[in-house]
Amino acid sequence: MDFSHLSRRKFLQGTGTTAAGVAITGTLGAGGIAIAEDASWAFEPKALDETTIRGLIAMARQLYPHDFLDDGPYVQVVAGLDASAAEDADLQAQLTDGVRALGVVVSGDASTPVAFHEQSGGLQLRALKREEAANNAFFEAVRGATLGGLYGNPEVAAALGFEGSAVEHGGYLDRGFDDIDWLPQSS
Amino acid sequence: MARTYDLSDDSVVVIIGSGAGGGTLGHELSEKGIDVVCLEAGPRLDLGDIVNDWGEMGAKLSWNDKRIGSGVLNPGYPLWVCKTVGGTTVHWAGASLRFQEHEWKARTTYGDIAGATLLDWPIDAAEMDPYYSRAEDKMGTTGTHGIPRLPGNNNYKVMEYGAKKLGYQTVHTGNMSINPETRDGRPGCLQLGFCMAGCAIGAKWSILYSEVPKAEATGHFELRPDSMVVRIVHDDSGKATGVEYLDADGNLQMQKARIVAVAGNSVETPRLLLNSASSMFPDGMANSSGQVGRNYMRHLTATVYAVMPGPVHFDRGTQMAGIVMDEVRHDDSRGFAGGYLMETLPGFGVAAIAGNVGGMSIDTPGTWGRDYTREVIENYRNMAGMWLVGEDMPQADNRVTLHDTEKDQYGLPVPVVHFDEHPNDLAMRNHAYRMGSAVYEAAGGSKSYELPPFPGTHNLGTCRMSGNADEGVCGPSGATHDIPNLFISDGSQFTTGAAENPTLTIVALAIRQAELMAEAMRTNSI
Repeated sequence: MDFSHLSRRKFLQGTGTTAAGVAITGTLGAGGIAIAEDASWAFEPKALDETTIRGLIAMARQLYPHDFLDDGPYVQVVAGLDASAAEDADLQAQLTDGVRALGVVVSGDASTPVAFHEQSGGLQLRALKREEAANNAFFEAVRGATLGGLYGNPEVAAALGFEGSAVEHGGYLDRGFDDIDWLPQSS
Repeated sequence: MARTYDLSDDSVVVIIGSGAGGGTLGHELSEKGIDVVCLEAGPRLDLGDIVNDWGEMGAKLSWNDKRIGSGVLNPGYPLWVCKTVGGTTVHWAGASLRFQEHEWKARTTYGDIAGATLLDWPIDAAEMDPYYSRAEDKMGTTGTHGIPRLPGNNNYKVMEYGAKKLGYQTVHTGNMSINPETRDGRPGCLQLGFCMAGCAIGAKWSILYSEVPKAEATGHFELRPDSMVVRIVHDDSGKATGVEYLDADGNLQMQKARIVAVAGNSVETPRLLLNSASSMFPDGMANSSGQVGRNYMRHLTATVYAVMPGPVHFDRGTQMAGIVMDEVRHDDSRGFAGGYLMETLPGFGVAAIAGNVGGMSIDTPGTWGRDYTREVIENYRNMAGMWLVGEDMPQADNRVTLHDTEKDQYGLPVPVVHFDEHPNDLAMRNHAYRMGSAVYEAAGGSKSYELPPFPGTHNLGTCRMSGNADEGVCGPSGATHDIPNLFISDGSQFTTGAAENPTLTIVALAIRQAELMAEAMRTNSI
């Protein structure tokens, strides 16, 4: 796939999930997390705590990873969840409890608490599969919010090839509705 | 000038619903000088309300009132129909295909199929031919009346190439009620790609802006939007005398009528008859046959999306941009009765594809994770897509009933929609999946995804037409067998569904019904 057109307005390059541009109030926890200074998608949390927010950002990216995207669009999804949680105490509890449940590394009978956003990518996947198999509402709530929020984001959709509203551009009659060039001419 | 009528005016024809059936009937009657009051449950939009945004238009147009489903294929999911002036002609794709001759005689042609309640229609292709022609002229259907076909977009070209490589012969850009160039006050298509969100420029025929203004200009037509009919009332002789409806302010009104025509789509039409039960008609109006609500059909449908070797940008241009007709014949050597069509259909945006392929397709690499984003979502721009639409079998127990206790926002019992598939449907869908995927494979596609039906858009048969009063609700004119001045005017009257997208046939039947109704009024037989 050619996503090279994105390089012109490069998203903030994060390292995994640890450089999200979340402006968390208060003191950061352990783990050497650097807060990005770029505040272009920073948000002030309204309802959720830092661990939950970082966990949800990591989850959103693990659910629908795209190497060409930095954390920005995922952070926007979580900002939306946070805003919803501010209006909905049940959702706030569901998200907080859900991320807490993901924050456990299980091996046989042993289980060790490790914040979800600090887990390795492989362990994160294992935790997500565990939660999916448990068939709880938390997993589907975050998955649904990520599907709608990430792919409903016009910039993300455009990067994937959905060009959005056409009427203000006069449609595609003169803009490539029939521009296919790789197909042999049919007889 | 649009005029208004008194509630007490019992000379008017009251039409319930302003979609393909009701809107056409209303315009046709008004042109004959017959006074019409058309009650529409939804609001009246104009072109300025139509934008290129799937989410916004889905919310603006859809009929989202509470429904309960049982059986398969998400029958209770809000059917993908519209609660707005113009009904489904606002969001329809525009495909305008005539039934094939044999499809008017499904019982005779297909024979006795176990579990299916097939009948022959009491009318045939020869009877319908002139009405089809008038409908095509009214709607500006491409490939008829000297109107050229639309140009094919990328998604069509992929399908055409694969289909011809497979040996299919009848492949073209369809018979579409979308103007290729200015006609009848509507502009030519600009290939916007949002047909099913409503055409923002009005190039596509719709009751909303094609028929309603003309009807109003006759001076014989009043449209009352935001008017939800709750009951049809009758006199001691059993004749319909008017309808009760809730107006825009929620006040109950009673409009008297000489004739009542019901055109609320195939859930609301039987629901209204059932909700109009009285001591004289304890099982609902026009239901002596017990057929009101039964034989619900929704067409066999399926979708195939395929990942092609290069960009397709299938959102660009007319959504139903072309058709393969070779499989629409009846040929039971394929293992099923009836036939199906292949029609291009894109994916309604990335969010929809990302949800639908994972959530619906049989052969998806999961619903999330790296395999899913790489194999499915990141191939969006290279996807081609087609919709498969064919004849499904009527079955007595596929039906609309009323819930015992649940009520909607109007205080009316919620409709319960039950749907199970017939073995013929399953065999046809299997064939359609195989051949649809084969088309894309022949064009170089690497991987296809097979999706079961989206929520029903082609809802048919729940007040079906029959020559025998024991077997159906209405006769060949659409007048109900039980109540001569109560008509069925939408797809509910379909005896069988045929394979073709139903709007053209609904419009043609409405043109014909207007003639028959006018004649009956003239001779005072109603």
